[in-house]
Amino acid sequence: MSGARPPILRVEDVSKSFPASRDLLGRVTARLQAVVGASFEVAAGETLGLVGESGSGKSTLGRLVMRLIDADRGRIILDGADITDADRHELRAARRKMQIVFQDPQSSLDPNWIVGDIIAEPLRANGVVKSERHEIVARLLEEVGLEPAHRSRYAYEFSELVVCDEPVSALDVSTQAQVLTLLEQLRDRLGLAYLFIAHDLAVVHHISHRIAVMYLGQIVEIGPADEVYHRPRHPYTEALLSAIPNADPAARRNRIILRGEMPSPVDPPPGCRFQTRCAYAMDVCRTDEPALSSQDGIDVACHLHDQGPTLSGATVVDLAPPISTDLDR
Amino acid sequence: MSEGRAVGVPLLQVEDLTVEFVTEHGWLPVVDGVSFEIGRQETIGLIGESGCGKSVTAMAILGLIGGPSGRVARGRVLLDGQDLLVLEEPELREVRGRRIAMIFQEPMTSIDPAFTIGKQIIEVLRRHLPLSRAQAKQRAIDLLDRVGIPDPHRRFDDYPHQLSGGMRQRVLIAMALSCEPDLLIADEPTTALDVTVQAQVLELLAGLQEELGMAVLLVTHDLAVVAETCDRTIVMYAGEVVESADVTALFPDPRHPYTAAMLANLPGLHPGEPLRPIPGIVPPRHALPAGCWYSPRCEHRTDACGATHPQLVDLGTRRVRCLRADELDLPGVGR
Ligand SMILES: Nc1ncnc2c1ncn2[C@@H]1O[C@H](COP(=O)(O)OP(=O)(O)OP(=O)(O)O)[C@@H](O)[C@H]1O
Ligand SMILES: Nc1ncnc2c1ncn2[C@@H]1O[C@H](COP(=O)(O)OP(=O)(O)OP(=O)(O)O)[C@@H](O)[C@H]1O
Ligand SMILES: [Mg+2]
Ligand SMILES: [Mg+2]
Repeated sequence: MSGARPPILRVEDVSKSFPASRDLLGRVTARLQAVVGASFEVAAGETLGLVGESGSGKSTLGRLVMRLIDADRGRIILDGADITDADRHELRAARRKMQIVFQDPQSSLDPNWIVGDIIAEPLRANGVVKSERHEIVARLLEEVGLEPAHRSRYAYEFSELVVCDEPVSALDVSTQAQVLTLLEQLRDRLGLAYLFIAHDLAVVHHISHRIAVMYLGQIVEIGPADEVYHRPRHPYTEALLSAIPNADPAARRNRIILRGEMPSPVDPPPGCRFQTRCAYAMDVCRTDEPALSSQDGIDVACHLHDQGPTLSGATVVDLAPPISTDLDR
Repeated sequence: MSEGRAVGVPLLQVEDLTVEFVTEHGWLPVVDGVSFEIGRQETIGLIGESGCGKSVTAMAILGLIGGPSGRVARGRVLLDGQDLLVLEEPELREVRGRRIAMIFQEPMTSIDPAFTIGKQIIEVLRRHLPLSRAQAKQRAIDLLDRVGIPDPHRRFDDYPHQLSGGMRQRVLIAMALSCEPDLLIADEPTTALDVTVQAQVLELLAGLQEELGMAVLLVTHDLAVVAETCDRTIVMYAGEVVESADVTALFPDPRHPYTAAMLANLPGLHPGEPLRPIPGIVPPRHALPAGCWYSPRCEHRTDACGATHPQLVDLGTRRVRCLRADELDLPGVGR
């Protein structure tokens, strides 16, 4: 997807920490690293899925991109313009190009709210009056699923980037399928790019062109959706995939069950952040932090790919199955 | 826990269960003539779209429907042949917790934030079993250990907010299983959890189920979880059972168009193909369509479907409520 056109979004080495505890005088005594050195791009019209366990930093990254919170470090470039330090006035212009869709439990049975967020909000920003907004939304809703139309049919500028934060997580399968399909149709019709945050890898795989996997604040693997889903390079991705339940009863299989929980982001483990739960961990993993290295369009941060008998970019699935470990028990 | 067990009788028999609530349209059934059985040590998955009556069915089994706005209008719930619906509250309380235990999804959960988890488990234990305080504490710590809480001696004194979501769910399981029930009702026990933690919790439940020899009624809208963990599935639609069968028969070979349509909604089953969402929503009870209640959303409907409300037909190895069950060849999973 990332070809001649400049990316609609570029995130360069962005980090964010929050105060985790304070002393009696209110001074910060410990900080929690929510996002650490994240870099990625989203091309126009592309969907980048962002997955990881609860607390891995997905929403924080989404909010950083939207400039709802400020980064400690790094740059955020929207459609070629650096918005990292944009003031309120400049941000208002930028927000015309991007929207955020949160999951809304109140109206979660009604896919229309998504259209409301994606379509009506930019129309409002464009100064379209309410009655006309309703009409346009209604028309679009009616048309979605009918014959394709061109974005130019609508004289208004819609968002180019939509951050979707867990838009379908609390929905039952049929409503989820309705919302996913609607999101896809809106994307294809309006040429939207999505940063699609979810913890369900099957959902993310379905809707995304590329997938980024986060663990403890860091992106540990990023690549084309099919590659990440079928040939994971990082042991954490492999474990995440293995945890997805399979609807084919004939396919009940042995899974890699991750032991224990994600360590605290206040006090991440030394070396590789995943080493405390990794079935393949080597000595070097306990001391040296792996860097993100790139091969065939897939970035992975794991010593299996650069140390000892090396995988050099091949999938971790082909490694001898890990011996079951009880690291945290 | 086998006292009073009648030979040859299933553990639980739900017969013609009908639950009604007061609405602006008067008393309306939300569970409507539901019948099924659960055998000893069997795991049953109860599935269906949001609002189709899964949780209300579970609550009714536990005798938790009542008050001014809800009533069991018809039916029986037999545990070892004894009807629970005619029991008075003290007897019912003895059944709940001791013979039938429950775990609910987090938000409406049964952990009290004001007390340590140890205190809460001890309370459950001593309510049902003749244990001294010291014995109860020892047993509580054993339980925490058994559900995989690391360092249970220390965790015993933790308050619920000091635990992660996954650990809280383990504590709930420990509480539910403290009296070694014959039946565990788990309503969306993993819906609020990460897949990784869900996998841990499901593995834990399966292990404990085998160890304790209990039956499980798993209420969920996640078909994949049912496929992985259950022996049999009951599919509900608008308050009725529309299909039930062994998991190994139902998923590859659904006979009700609703079951097939729900499977077609799962991302990941047919890579590269678009999802095929079921159009529309479950009809509200006050506006049920004529004939088959699923027919307005069904891609296989005929004129007859809009005229006759189908019966739940027993085919021996499965039950299905569809006029066209015999003639349709519906796609399933893994074929
Ligand atoms: N405003 C805040 N103040 C302090 N800590 C925060 C704040 N926002 C997020 N965090 C912490 O940052 C970490 C990452 O949180 P974030 O919400 O980004 O995770 P997530 O991946 O979106 O998780 P989930 O899947 O549960 O939504 C967590 O440890 C969280 O507790
Ligand atoms: N106390 C109540 N008073 C009135 N109506 C109720 C009550 N409890 C449930 N209902 C209604 O009964 C129907 C069935 O609800 P139930 O909670 O059993 O659905 P469910 O299948 O468990 O759905 P979900 O997947 O959302 O949990 C719903 O329409 C609900 O609004
Ligand atoms: Mg989040
Ligand atoms: Mg429910």
